[in-house]
Amino acid sequence: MRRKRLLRLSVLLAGITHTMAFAPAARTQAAPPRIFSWIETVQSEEGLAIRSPVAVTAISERELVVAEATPEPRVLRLRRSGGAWALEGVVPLPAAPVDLVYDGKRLVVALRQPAGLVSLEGSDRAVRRLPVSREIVPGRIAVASNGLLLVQDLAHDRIVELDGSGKVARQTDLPPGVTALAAVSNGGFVIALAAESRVVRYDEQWREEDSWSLAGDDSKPAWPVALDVAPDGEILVLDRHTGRILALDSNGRWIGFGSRQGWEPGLLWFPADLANVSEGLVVVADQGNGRVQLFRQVGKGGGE
Amino acid sequence: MRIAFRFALVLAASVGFTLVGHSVTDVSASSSVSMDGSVCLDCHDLDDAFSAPSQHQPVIERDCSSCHNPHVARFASLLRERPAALCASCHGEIADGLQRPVIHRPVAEGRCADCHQTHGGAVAGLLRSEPQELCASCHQDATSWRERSVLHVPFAQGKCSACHDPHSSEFSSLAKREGAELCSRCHGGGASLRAAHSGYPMGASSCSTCHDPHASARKGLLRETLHAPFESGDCGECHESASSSEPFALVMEGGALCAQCHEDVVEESIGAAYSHISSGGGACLECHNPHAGEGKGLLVRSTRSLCASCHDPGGASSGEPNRSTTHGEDLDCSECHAPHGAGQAVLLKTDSIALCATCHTHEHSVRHPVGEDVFDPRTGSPMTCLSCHGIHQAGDEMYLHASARAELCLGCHKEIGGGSS
Repeated sequence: MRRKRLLRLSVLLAGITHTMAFAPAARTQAAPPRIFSWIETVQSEEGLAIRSPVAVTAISERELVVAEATPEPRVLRLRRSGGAWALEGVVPLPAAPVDLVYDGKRLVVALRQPAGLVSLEGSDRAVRRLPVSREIVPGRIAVASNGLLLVQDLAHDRIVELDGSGKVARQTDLPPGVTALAAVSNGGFVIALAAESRVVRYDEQWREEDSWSLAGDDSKPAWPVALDVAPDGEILVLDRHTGRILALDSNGRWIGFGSRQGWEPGLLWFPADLANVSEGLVVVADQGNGRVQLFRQVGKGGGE
Repeated sequence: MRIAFRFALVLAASVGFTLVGHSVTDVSASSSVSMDGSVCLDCHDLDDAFSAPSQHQPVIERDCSSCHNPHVARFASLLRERPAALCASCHGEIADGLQRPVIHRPVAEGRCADCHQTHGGAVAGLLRSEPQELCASCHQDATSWRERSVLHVPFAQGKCSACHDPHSSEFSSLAKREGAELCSRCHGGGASLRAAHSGYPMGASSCSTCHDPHASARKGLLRETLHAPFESGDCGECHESASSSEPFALVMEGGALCAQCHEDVVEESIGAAYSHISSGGGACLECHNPHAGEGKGLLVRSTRSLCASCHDPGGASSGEPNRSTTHGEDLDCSECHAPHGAGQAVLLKTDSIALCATCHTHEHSVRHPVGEDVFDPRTGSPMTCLSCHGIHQAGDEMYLHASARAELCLGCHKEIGGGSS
């Protein structure tokens, strides 16, 4: 009896060994770590100053600028005073904004056609129309490493570099459907193609250099709508559909992410734009939630 | 001691069996090759297959063991391999086709038996039914196309494979050739083709942009809706003359040309607070066919399909669960979204509360407080219908964001859940 039991056990063991040897190995993919932590929501003490941010940029850690299309086209200037953010000024715009950048001296806003580009200069941030050919329909804009303005021309599916007089100094064709643009310190740039969940980098000669697909979350493909590139080459991507901030290293490797879709502080709902404020500090225009939020990348700029 | 020795022997044998598992399988296979299939027929009735006009070659040869292992197998019906891999072991050309860019979904998923009988059948190619019936079992539009007054001859005859490769293709829609090259196999070209197109050289054009390759209510299989200049034959309204060196060149650049007649739409598109990315620069042809289209607006395809081709919010192409392409039954995206541009984010036609209320009149009158004076404690922004309802992400009934309603409510009403408010 005991012999039979032992025999059965050995046969069972053989079966298990056999099954294990032929069972397909479980495919595991290491998820990148969550590397962005929420710092704060930027809202003025008066509350509700920010309603539906389209674009955001930083002048410094203490001064942020937000562009809105509704309830009326305008730029909001927010300054940190003590521990709180205060609304320092509101500048009406002549048309709905598309994008907003700070070139170190002035704010530049791309406006819906036919308004073109305007700058906000001086202490009162007076609006001044920039001389740009009416053939150019501005989309996303960025400040190149040489200080000139890079403009996505929606009318011709191209990117142009404008000199000080608004003339096209350089241009190259882009694929249709570009949703984001950022300059790279070597003179190149990166673009996002939302419908393809893809980021493409162009080198200093403006030749396509690399292309990376972005992973979506469990339910949706990635839909990149904003990019920024840190001085070390790290690329930040804002995924509008999943509410995530994605970080790619300079080789395009996905190194981490932050946030997800939601309403609570630290979560994003159809965000529209993001910008590096300083090393490791990122500001996001959380359009669907009607607010602007700051995030810190762990391990950068003293963040933990 | 003897028992322990026997245990060790069995264990060693089992490990050996495991390590040479494939060889054991091979041995059983080779030993069964010579087995006469008539042994199988003592129990398995395959008379229908044997009398069928179309028979699988192993059935003709009574070589059951070429597909089945008579003793043991890891796959249902004692198949020697997974079904698709088993089929591919002889039909290598189908497996080779997996390298092509367009693959018929059942092929990609290894579901050969969805279309083919495995032993024998009445239809050539071991098809489960006549091609037109078989294809229409999934491609249900094909049934309604038959009601149209003008049918393309191959379609009328149910010869789907005259134009489509049922397994894989280099071209979209599993076409056997690209664009005009496919059509010209039967329709030719030359002077008659040119004469039929107001003198324009149509050789390299994609015929299906204007002609429906299956069926139409219009003569010449033209698509349902025609652009007015196209219908009246005024090609010169938009194109250079047929005799010019570049006859298809436009007389004006894209958006500006369209604005000559559709100024209001183009203005709406490029000047809106929130503009559709594809129309922000007047890229009208991303969505519209300037000659002929299906339904209103000369769209290049149906609204849902067109929008999903970029946005795919409901997994139309991915097939992922808990994602929906539509909100409600038979609603087009354009019911809620302004496709050219809007004054509201995500191209909503109006603010979400008013927009939802156009259909949800009852809910609107007995609603949870929403509006400018009601603040969502999670965001500090005004509450809208979208604060709780996901619209596209239909993971829960009533398109609620959270799968458990309590979870959704307690997100704001923390005092009810025992948390601090």
